[in-house]
Amino acid sequence: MLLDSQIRELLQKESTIKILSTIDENNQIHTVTKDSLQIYNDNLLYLEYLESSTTNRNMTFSMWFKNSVTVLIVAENKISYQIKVTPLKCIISGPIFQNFYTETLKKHNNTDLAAVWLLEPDKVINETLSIRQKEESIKRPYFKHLDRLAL
Amino acid sequence: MTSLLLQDKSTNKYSPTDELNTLIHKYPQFPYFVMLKTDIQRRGIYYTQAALEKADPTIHQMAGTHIFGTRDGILTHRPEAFMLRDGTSVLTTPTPLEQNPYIVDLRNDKLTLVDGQNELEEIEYWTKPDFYNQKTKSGIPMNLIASARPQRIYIMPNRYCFFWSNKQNCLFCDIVNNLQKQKKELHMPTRLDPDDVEETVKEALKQNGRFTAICLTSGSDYNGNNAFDRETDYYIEILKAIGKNFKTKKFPSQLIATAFNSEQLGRLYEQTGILSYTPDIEVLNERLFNWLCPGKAHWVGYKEWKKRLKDAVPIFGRGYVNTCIVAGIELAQPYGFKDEDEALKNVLTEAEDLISSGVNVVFTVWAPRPGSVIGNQKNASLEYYIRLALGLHNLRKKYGLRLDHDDYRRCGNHPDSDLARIL
Ligand code: SF4
Repeated sequence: MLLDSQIRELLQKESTIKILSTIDENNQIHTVTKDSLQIYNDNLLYLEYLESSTTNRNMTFSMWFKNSVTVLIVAENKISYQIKVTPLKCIISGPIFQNFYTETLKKHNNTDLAAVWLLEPDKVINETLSIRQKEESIKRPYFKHLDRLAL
Repeated sequence: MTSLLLQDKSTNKYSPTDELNTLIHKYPQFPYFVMLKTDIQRRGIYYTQAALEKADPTIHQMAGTHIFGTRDGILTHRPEAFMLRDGTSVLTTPTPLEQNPYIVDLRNDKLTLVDGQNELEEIEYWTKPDFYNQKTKSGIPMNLIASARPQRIYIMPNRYCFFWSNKQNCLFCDIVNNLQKQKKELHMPTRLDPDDVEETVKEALKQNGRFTAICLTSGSDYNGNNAFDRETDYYIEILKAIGKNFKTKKFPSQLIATAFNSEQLGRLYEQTGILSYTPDIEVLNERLFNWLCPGKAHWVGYKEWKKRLKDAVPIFGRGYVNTCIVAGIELAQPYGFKDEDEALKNVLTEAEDLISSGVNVVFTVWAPRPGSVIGNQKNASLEYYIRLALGLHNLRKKYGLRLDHDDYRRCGNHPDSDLARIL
């Protein structure tokens, strides 16, 4: 299970910033916040409210042509994780869709639901600066300004 | 919450057949899911007994009410269609095993698409809409008034086509033969009462999140003071009845009908909520149109049909007028093209003439049906359909033409318009 309890907890917090990055057919990156990003069983899920959005188009493109999609979550205390994901399923009808549709209408008056995207996590990287600094100083000791080592 | 049935990842567990693999590598810009759907529609589908037992008529949408028949001539008791993981719909025509169709079987308790030894994808049957359980006040089961695509209410107000009366029916069409069966086996009404339609739509709209559009289609009716006046008037009546269910005058809707003249179209647009218009030309070649669609050729004519398509653009807007071709019939013998390259060149040249004028062109894969005149012939190769879909997609790109009303979600029966998801 790639998504451990800390990530699950962070995703549940309203204060956590959830970002989704996709790329289009010309390799242009498109980055947006997606508050609806959540855990769904062992996968991630987000709700796409706009049929014509660039993200929706790019997600389809990624699913069709196996392009990468990245989720970034940033917590209040600066802890952040990058999660590489693969689009697994695009749900546009049926009972699961209708449940989320009803939930969406309740939560956000006048907001339609275009799709429920299910994302399978492939890799999780802890991007918290203090953790990455520690890692780098152990693995890449050359990457340092000398004045920081001076007496 | 309903649990999700999911395979781990198609790339690990499922593998395409050699033919598909070759084409996947030859056309890397063409999505695998759409290629698969196209080939399923080309070769047909066979549901094993285990797969049929998994189809629950209280949950899933079963076949039988569609305007056209199947390749094996059996009307009911099979799922109408299924969905692939990416949201692609696959409308299926059950096909006898001898014709080498794809197979839907139950593998590890999952509905699985199989070709030979290859397990290709996990699939899901379409779910039945709630209104299918209801009857109208007049006592007609509502599934005989309207059917459903995953996101569209599909109404066929008149299942009789008057071209059949004069033996001028399209040669690939089995509408009237299918109707006779539907009347006998399902007591399907030939012509719908507008009140029944209004009531059925009202019921359908109670299901939140289920439908995004309404589509109407019928057989042609040339009767009236001017040819097709009666067909026009009837659609107006039906659309007005449907419109009583909406707050707004216009609502997402599509009319698949005969090519009407400007006066008829003006009336339709002004008096009803209709938002898009699809007079199907069926084949993009005048000589073949005259052979394959004798009724349309006699009552309207090929050049006039194209003119009426273009004339409809100022009324409905660019992209909201389209026409469908039954791809593959242009290769039917003895008069069709003998060569796929030549056929494709002809179709795309004609399509460009329309698309550059704001008229979208989409195709369905020709499924030769036993109840039609040319039902014993074969459709085209998968590569032909891939090239056609790419050709139409590229033309839409070139002319900046959207296809919102007849896309993967509203319709789901056109491989080329599935590609419009990434336009
Ligand atoms: S117009 Fe042609 S395709 Fe349409 S219903 Fe009549 S015979 Fe069939």
